[in-house]
Amino acid sequence: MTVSFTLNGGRVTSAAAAMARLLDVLRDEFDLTGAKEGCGEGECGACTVLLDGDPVCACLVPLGQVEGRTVLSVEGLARGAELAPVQRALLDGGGIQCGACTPGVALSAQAHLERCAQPTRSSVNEALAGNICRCTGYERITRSVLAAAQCEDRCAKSGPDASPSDAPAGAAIEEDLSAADLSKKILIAGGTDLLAAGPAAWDRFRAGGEVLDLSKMRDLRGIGLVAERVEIGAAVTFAELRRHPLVREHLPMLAQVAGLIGSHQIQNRATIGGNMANASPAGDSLPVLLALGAEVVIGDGENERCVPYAQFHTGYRQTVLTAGELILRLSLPLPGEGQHWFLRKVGTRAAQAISKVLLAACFELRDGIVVGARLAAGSVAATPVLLDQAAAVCIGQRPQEELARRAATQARLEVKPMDDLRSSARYRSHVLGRLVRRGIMSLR
Amino acid sequence: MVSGAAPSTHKPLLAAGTEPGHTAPVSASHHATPSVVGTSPRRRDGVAKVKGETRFVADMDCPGAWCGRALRAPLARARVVSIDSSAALAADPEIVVLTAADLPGPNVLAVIEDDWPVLAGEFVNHATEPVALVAAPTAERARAALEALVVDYEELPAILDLKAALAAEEAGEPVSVLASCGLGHEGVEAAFASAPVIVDGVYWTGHQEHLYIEPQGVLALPPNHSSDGSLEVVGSLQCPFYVHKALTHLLGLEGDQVRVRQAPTGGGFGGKEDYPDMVAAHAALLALAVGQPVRVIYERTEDMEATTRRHPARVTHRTAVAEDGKLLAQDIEVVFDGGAYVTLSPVVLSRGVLHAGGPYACPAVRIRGRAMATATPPNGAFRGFGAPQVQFAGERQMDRIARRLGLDPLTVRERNAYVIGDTTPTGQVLTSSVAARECLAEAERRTDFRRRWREAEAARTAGRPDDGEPLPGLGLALGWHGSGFTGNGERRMRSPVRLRLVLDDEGAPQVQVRVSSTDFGQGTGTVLAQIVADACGAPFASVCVINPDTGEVPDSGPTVASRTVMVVGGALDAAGRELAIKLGGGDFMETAASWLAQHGALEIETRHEPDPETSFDEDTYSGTAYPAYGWTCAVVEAELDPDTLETRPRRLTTVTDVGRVINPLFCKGQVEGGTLQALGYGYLEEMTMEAGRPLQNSFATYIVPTAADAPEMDTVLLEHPAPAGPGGAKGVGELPMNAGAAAVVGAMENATGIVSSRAPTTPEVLFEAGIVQGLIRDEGVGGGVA
Repeated sequence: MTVSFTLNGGRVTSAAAAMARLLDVLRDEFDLTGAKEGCGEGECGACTVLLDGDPVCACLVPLGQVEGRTVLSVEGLARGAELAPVQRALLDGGGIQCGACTPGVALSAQAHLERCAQPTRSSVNEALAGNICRCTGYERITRSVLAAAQCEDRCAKSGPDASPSDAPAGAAIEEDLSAADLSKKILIAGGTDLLAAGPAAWDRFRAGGEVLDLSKMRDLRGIGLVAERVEIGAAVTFAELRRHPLVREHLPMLAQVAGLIGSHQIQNRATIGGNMANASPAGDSLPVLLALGAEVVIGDGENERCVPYAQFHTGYRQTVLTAGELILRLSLPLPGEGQHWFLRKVGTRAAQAISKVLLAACFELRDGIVVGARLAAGSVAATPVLLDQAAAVCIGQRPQEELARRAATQARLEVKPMDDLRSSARYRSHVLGRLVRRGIMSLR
Repeated sequence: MVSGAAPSTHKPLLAAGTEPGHTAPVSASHHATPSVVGTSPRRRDGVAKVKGETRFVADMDCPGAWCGRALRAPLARARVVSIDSSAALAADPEIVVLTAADLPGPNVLAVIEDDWPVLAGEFVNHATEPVALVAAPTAERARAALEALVVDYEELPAILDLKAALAAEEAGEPVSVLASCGLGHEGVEAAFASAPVIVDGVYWTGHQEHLYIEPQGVLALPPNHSSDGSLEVVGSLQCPFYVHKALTHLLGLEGDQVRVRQAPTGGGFGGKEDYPDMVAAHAALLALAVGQPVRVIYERTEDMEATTRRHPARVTHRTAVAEDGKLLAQDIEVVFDGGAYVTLSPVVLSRGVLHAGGPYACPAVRIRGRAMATATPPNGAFRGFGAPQVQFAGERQMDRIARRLGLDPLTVRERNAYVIGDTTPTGQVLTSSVAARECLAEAERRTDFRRRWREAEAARTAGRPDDGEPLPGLGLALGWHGSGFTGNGERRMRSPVRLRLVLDDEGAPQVQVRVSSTDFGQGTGTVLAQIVADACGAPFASVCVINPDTGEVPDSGPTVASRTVMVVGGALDAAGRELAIKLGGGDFMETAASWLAQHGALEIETRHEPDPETSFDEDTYSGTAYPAYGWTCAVVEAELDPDTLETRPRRLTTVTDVGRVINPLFCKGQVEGGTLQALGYGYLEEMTMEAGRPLQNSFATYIVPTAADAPEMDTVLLEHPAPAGPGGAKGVGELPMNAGAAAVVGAMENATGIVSSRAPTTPEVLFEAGIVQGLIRDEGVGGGVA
């Protein structure tokens, strides 16, 4: 099997394994070494390339998923001898020191300049948060990108094929799930967890087995309004959630959390279904889905079953999914009158962070009285948890200091936080209480 | 002359001949070419870097290169009972396995003491210590071979961190002190006996990881594959002659049998000062054993677990102060965690001791330092080299003194900061280029620090509304850093530099700069050309800095210690002027062309000549510790979340004096990048050790600032020229690392009232300190809170 795609404006074909990392293919087969391996887990951003115009970490993209798509590496950014405006700006603005992060920075910046009509300091910094630079302190990078934004030809790029596609990720080839062989050994959606598993896993992937690419399955894609509920395909990416008008209008908490997950490179690849199936207690979208009262539709290719999401996680990294089963889609109720939401992610830093604590809450208020409440927390137990008792405390009460304290106390009794390399149990417990309190006080 | 946006008062730039100095300034007046010093031309390597064309060592095409890997010990201390490679060799007979028993010569990397083994021999002294080497034709086969090696260990008890080492010392148990040094004045005891106020403080700083984006990597070509029959090593490194020395010593080779070239290097920060000796030794041993080129590229986790880090430290202060805040006496103890081997700890400690008093005049000072051994990888060079630890402590102590006396952080510093004529603890009289107070004044002018700091104090003590709004806080710190090697280092080296006038490929005169200084991002490959162009009158474009290669350049010393511009640049400035004199003046290109036509290539070699009037006594720690000092003030404006205690630095103002600024854009880049590293050191970069290994061993877990974390920066450069450097330039590389950490923790204190004495102060650290200090009430349920 070979994979064909557009690389820097030209059609190319690779015979490497479907699970070979795009990074290795670019470097070893096409001798394009501008993408660097800094970490191999999608964190440093030194291997950033544009896939259909969106930044992704080439270390987390299996070759099979670029079939029919467009890849731009840094080598394709300049127009021959003439640098792209963003390259020129970085060069003249002091945005380059050691140069190891530079190719990735240039591409992330280029994508942002194409996406964003009026870049600001904060939009640029958010767009670049997935590209770690250890030399510059970012100041000159940020200024350079803002300077490039003033260039009239800022979006212009090399070949005619290199323009970004408006088509959603994975649109190049669509397949029907009904025709798929679910017994294949490797199931992959965004790959951001799967390929971050390290060199031993890459060897295994390269050697092993057939791949079922879930991102190509039409049945797993799309966001729609069905019978007063929002339905979201399992292979919808966080970037799609972040931008989708339906989600932004009806489920703004979900759109917001999508923008808090990893970096843009990760949001462009990672899927909501993958976040659920990976089942990390620190999965950021999971408490939000709990708070929104989601239901999960699971299938095995023939039958479907619907499970309240609150019952989906059964233990540390364990779910109700059985062998041969897949998450097909999510179904979320539309919020009714008097709905309020509260979301706080407490990560290890301002962006691209794994959560220490995350609180998502939905409240329903009538005449100043809480008549409905769902609070959910992440990173404070073996699974994302619904804080049922804390919610029960709120029902029938006015959102006042005394209630806020009682609910906070109750919430802390419902979790079992740990000491680990990111935080301490004491801190997590304290912060959860403070956030619950803050969430309730925000209703006043 | 101020490179920031606003004007400032400062001394005029040193003009030629106006001040006695053993190195005359850049900008000889004998030519008409416009000066390139003081401007910011594009970096020479910039186009290739931004196009992705730069080939780092992992990117280099080298057909037939094998992959080299090290097997690393899982235990912190152990006796190696046996190493069995039979299964690995049976599975893949082509591979090569080396252990300490296979070494041709001494099992040591020569640094200061020869105690750092290339491969663990009978004993393992830290986790991740290399025990065996493997080379295979592919990375996959090398990895498989590593997994098939069987090592039998007998575990031994180990001292795993500084706290344990100090506890053992206190209990009278055997501990190993790797280095010690110090100084003390008479009158310290008397000053404490009569002091109106005595302030005590104990400060802890943790490991810090360099986290250069390009991991360690070296390619070694055995003689049958190299261009000139030598053992050729190409690597990501700062100090080609360090590697050269290590390899000749290890392999028993003559100098011309080993050639070391610097590959483009993706960040160093000191992490590629000492450790590439190890990587190169492994690659070279394997290449010689295999007879093929061998490339060793570290995986990120390996790099983070096995290579050097910043020394953790405990710094104890006892300060006698007058009621007005003037320092009367300082008694300071500096203890560093050196790791398992001596490596660079004595010199790191020395710089730490010499900077521990801070940029403040004090009549009676005692500073004692020691570096203790722990069963962890040797801690090594990291930007600042011992100074960031002691200045975090010293600046937090100044804040403590201020609070005790009811002063603000700025005032207590203004009252003590050095001025010209002051004497440092080593008895060095500061005769020029002292800008500590000017940095403070400009920082105050730009940030209105004093008023805003007091406002935040008043708002906090009055009680703020509990509305969830972030709490504003400001912190300020002052830093200094000695340029060049400590004490007599430069005097011993008298670094040679070389200029060679040749015809380039197109037949035009070209000045080649031949030095061993490496550019790993700072821009020195451009900056040194600027210095030489001005010194000899050549057009900037006609000056070219040759890639560092031990076969092509003299040993002008390592690229460390903020010495490149001042020391190497100073010698190049002298060489450039000598070249101009040799050519006889007039238009450079014309006179150079006619010289080349008549005489052929011209080579000028000069040496760095330290001021003969100064000296340093290493036994008594007295005299001139450094020929010049840089000064910096950092003001951090931060917001603290009242619920989570997360710190968000929003704005960073730095005012920095490094003398004459050769390239303002690059100089600001050094200040900004270094200060953000310092901020990270202060509030984010936690490294927790467990059983002698870091839990945070990846980009996902070791937390450095992203673009979204970085504050907006206002970076101001003052220019107080120092006679020691070219045109008055001092070193800039390390200085910015010395103030930011204390400033950000100071901002937390201003916002919350919680005093933290630890770097990093993460939200968890601040939370625990807040509970101890009674400033945070934990409702006390769940999560193990009593």
